[in-house]
Amino acid sequence: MTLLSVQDLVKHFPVSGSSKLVKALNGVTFEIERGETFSLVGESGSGKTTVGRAVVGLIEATSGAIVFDGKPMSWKRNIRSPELRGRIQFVFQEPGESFNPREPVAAAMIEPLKYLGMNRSDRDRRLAEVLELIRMPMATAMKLPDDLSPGMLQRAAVGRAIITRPDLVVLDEPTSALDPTARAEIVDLLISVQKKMETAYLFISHDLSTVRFLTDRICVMYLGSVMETGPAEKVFLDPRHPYSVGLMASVLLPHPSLKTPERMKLEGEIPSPLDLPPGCPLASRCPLVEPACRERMPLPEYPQPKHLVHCINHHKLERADVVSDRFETFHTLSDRILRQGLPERVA
Amino acid sequence: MTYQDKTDTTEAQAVAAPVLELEGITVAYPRYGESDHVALDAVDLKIRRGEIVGLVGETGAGKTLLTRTVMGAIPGGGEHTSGAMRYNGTPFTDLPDDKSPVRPAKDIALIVSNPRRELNPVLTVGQQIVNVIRHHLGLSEKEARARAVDMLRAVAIPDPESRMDAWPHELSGGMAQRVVIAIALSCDPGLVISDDATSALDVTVQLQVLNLMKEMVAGSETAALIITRDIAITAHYCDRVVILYKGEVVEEAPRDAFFDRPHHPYSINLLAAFAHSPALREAWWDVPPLADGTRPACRFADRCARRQPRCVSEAPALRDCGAGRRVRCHYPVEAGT
Ligand SMILES: Nc1ncnc2c1ncn2[C@@H]1O[C@H](COP(=O)(O)OP(=O)(O)O)[C@@H](O)[C@H]1O
Ligand code: SF4
Ligand code: SF4
Ligand SMILES: [Mg+2]
Repeated sequence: MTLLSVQDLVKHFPVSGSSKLVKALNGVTFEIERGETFSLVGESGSGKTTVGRAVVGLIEATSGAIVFDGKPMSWKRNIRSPELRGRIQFVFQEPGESFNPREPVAAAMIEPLKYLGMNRSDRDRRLAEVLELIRMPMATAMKLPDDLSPGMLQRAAVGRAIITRPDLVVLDEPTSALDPTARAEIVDLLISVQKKMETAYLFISHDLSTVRFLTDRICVMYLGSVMETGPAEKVFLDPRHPYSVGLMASVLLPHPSLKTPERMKLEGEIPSPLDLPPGCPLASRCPLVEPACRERMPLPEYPQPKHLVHCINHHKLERADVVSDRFETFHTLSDRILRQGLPERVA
Repeated sequence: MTYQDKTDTTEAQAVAAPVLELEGITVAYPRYGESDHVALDAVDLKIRRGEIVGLVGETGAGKTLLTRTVMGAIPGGGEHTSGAMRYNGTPFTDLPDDKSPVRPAKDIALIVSNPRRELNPVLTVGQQIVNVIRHHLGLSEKEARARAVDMLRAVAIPDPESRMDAWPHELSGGMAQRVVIAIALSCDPGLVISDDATSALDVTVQLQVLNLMKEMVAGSETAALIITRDIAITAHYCDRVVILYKGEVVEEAPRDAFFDRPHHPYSINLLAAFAHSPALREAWWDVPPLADGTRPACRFADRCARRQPRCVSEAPALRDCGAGRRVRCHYPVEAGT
């Protein structure tokens, strides 16, 4: 069942001292089902954060609609209105952002419950529940934000988000500021929380390696437009947009045998979102570009059921012979290598 | 097994003095009423001509402190208490003066993660490269300009002549990092150190910059030290991998051997962070806590799934395992264990 539907979302930011517009979003459409993890990926500047901020109501879209639980969001029906309070929560990139430096983190964690009008003893009970879920001792939660490591603080931020038992949590690069160990701990936590609570995630990230195994469906964005959307295994195994192919081919995996493929190497960088030319946004960097690409935005096509692509040349990228993607190969390989030497206690 | 064309080390290179040689580098921070905090403990590192070495560790392991020590700028009251540093066989200290035979700023080029902070906002790109070239190589303005344009071309900046007049704020993150690399390489350094230089870049641009660094090192016979939290980078761009944990080298090995069979439990824990198996992570990471107040001799003991009583009482030495590998562990994971 559809939980959130983003329809033709447009956001243009005015540029101060000029009549130009930053075209951050140019008609973004996708849906999130109840309880699923939906990931937005793309390079910085592709508009991922803007989508997330529009969904949680931190910015107002220029046009388009956001429909949550069957009804459109508006200035009257937003995440703070009584009907929706606590149902959409968020976690940002910087772990410190959700916390007041002078208050114990536990105080910030129960804050969303105050807005729900919950009484003190119910709040405390809920806090104890969440601390158990995120495996954080009460003594740690009573510390000030500065006394926690960034990983612990992000753990608390996840706790704060799920304390209202939301239907949807928007996570904008929740692991990018963290060390590898802390990052993996947060990913494992998100997986275990979802198993127990059936929360849907809108997971925003440029870390494709994490996205591959955390996600049910993925949406690849570029310059404020959707390039490709579909089930994660399908899109990773058989990506049909030159940008998705190039992006996935750029990811370095930690084993020397898993080289980066030469396919669709993307040269150059994402252009400025000011004065975008008409047509396909990738035209300036695309190895398959042809004159027709510059005429208008390619229409959506479905190379496979539920797998949508905006590219007139998507059929040229089909690879029927491939049985597993690099990420999957890495998974199998690393599992074999790292299983060696596990002490018997756990092996 | 060999997975990729690595930099070939000839025998002549192998016997020549390493470009950079660190021996027993120890840096301590005095603490009031307590024993010193040893932030780097007897770190040894050798980098040979044409070689790219990867130094991997998480925040606080001492990666940046090591570069700052080499560059002669230990931050925050730390003291370089022992150890020797040699550049092409010539000793140098962390207090270089004009008479020093080694000038870290010229001979050793440092590239860091925030290129914009490295660039002076009130000078054009061209002026900055020209200043560095004139200062270190003593060329005329005209010669320096020509060299600067060549450098910008070498780092694949489109239309380098007109980019000479660009201001730093006009550059994208990737372009700014290319300019910083051009500046770093403009004076023919013997060694390039990249301290997390590509972590802020998008993956597609990161790959371009890493390829560029690799080509420049191969083409100019310099050596490079790539310092990173992202161990995946070292799997593809380095000849050798060195793992740093709490100020100590815990494992060092040729790249392919390291990734095929990591020996140190911390190396494995770190690699497990990149793997996609929560179950595997739990098996390696969920370790019964040490008894309250225990100060284990092995710095990794509190997190180590292979811990034995001996690890708490006796500090493991960095032991030579042959085939270019060194491991600091009483019970390393070796073939068949
Ligand atoms: N408040 C704002 N004012 C002006 N431009 C903005 C603002 N927020 C975002 N943008 C611009 O919109 C584009 C998309 O940004 P963003 O959504 O942050 O992308 P991402 O999260 O994918 O990196 C960028 O060019 C960014 O600079
Ligand atoms: S529509 Fe054309 S320019 Fe756009 S991605 Fe497809 S081939 Fe490339
Ligand atoms: S010495 Fe013992 S505690 Fe330390 S890493 Fe080796 S096995 Fe683990
Ligand atoms: Mg963002």
